[in-house]
Amino acid sequence: MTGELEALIEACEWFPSYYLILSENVYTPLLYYSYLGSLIPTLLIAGYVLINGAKELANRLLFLMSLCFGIWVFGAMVTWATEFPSYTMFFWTLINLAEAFVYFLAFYFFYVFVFKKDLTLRQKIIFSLPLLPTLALASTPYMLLGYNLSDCDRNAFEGILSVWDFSMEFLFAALIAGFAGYAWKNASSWEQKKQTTLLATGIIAFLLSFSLGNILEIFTENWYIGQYGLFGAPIFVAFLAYLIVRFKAFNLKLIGAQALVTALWLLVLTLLFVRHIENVRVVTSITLIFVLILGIILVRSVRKEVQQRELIQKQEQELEVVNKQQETLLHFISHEIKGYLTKGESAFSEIADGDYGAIPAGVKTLASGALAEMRKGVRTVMEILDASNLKKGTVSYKMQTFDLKAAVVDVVNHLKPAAEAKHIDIKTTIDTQGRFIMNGDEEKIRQHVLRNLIDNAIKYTPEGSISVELGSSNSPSTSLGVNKIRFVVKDSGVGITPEDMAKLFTEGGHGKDSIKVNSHSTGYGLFIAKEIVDAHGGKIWAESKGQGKGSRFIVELPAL
Amino acid sequence: MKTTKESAYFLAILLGLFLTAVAISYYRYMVLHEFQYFVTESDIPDRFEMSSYTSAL
Repeated sequence: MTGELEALIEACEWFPSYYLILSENVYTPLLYYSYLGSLIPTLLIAGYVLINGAKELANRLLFLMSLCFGIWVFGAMVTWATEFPSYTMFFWTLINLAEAFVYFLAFYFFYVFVFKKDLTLRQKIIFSLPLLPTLALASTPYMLLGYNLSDCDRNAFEGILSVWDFSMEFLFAALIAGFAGYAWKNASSWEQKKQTTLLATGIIAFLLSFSLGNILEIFTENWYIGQYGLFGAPIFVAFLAYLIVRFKAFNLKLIGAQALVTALWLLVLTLLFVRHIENVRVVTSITLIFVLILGIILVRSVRKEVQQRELIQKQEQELEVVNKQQETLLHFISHEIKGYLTKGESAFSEIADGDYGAIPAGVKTLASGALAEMRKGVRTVMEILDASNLKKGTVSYKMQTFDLKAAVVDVVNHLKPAAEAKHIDIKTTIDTQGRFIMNGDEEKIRQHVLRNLIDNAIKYTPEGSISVELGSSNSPSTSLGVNKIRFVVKDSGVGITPEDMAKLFTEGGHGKDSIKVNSHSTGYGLFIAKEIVDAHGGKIWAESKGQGKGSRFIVELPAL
Repeated sequence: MKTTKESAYFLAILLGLFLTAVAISYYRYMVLHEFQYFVTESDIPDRFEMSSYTSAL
């Protein structure tokens, strides 16, 4: 720099700046420093959105857009504060670059957010092409012609590229508007249309207000207007807040949304009461009205969501009461039916056993058939009652030490005739070196676990074989964990589809086609088995390669 | 919508170009101080007429 230039700069009597942005050179300090009020929440909100979904493309784009906006705001502050021409030239270039990226990223973000899909590679290249001249010519006189010392206003003078930049900005704003129209036309619901309209309005208002100050600045050569760029900043923050609610990036309570809007409103309102900023009053008033409208929309949107959530909670509570009433009714009906069935069972049993004297063979056959049906009925009702009691937690367990091996052998022997009637062979394999002593409710384990699983295997195997295995961790030939007994029932039956597998052990969890194979299935058997195994500290699960490929039920219980 | 590898690379390339442009500007303006000063109003060239511009070099 020549001595003449140094003398000219000295003659301007600029104040020194500290930390790049603190300086007495700025014209309207409150307006200038309120930039920070927009910058900090913008970066915090964008950072929060990113943390809550770092892999989401829309979150990343929103974060990058906010980051570029942050660079723009910071760069703008430096250009207003600094007394060094080189700083002005560099940061002026930086804000021009950041501004171009804000527009591109805003468009990209809008597309991904509204259409829920990414741009294709070709689209990405085409839409990013307008950035190339700005990137390539950033540090040339096409971007900044030079530094204007003629009026001591500390300004750079923009080159022809500024016209390109403004055209590009209008192009992206128009693209957003165009895609918004397309999305609006193809939206399937009014809610979707409203969301698209609000998002597009917010983003375009922000982008245009952002540029408008700069455009007026260039063409009027009134550099104070540049600071009006602030009026885009609160819109952006409010717009971000709205997105957060829509994004559901985090659980923003109604009070949080109201506090955010109030803070924004106050931020702008304070500007009206500060002296010496008459020029800003009009712009600030517009901003104030805009923020107020946006705030009302935001609060109404959140209130609606909160009301819906409360309604769902209320309905949930009512449903719970109705459910309990139905359960009680079901319990009562089942109990009554069980009483009638038991009486009938007893009567047919006595007739069949000849307690009322000799009866003709035909009547005996009839009585025996009726007795078998009555017993089935009692078992079914008992199953429903047991499931109901287990759910209510009113089941008590008679815990005692017993040998599971004896129980398994007994149950298999008891069910063998039913299997043989279907020409199914039950093969039992018991680890001879194992020890099967455990502590539990023997009756419930026998009835609801062992019997249920073997009985199911018989019912769901039209032909083929069933194998029952019993292993223990005490045996040297096992890979089981410490102190465990494993009971396995394997069949070559109808198998289990992946859909049925998901609800196998749930209450009333019938398989899709199971009712065709076993019409008496209540769907409570496996639910009860699981409840009982769980109560004994064990676990139960099933394996199947799919429909028609058989299944394998495994129970692991703690051994003594 | 998760970020695909293609989009991640695309954004990384854009970021790289942005940083390169910033670095070149930094070097030119902050290190070399290579820019023109307009001392009087008449020095300011017409931005639409680049031939009126005199380089700082």
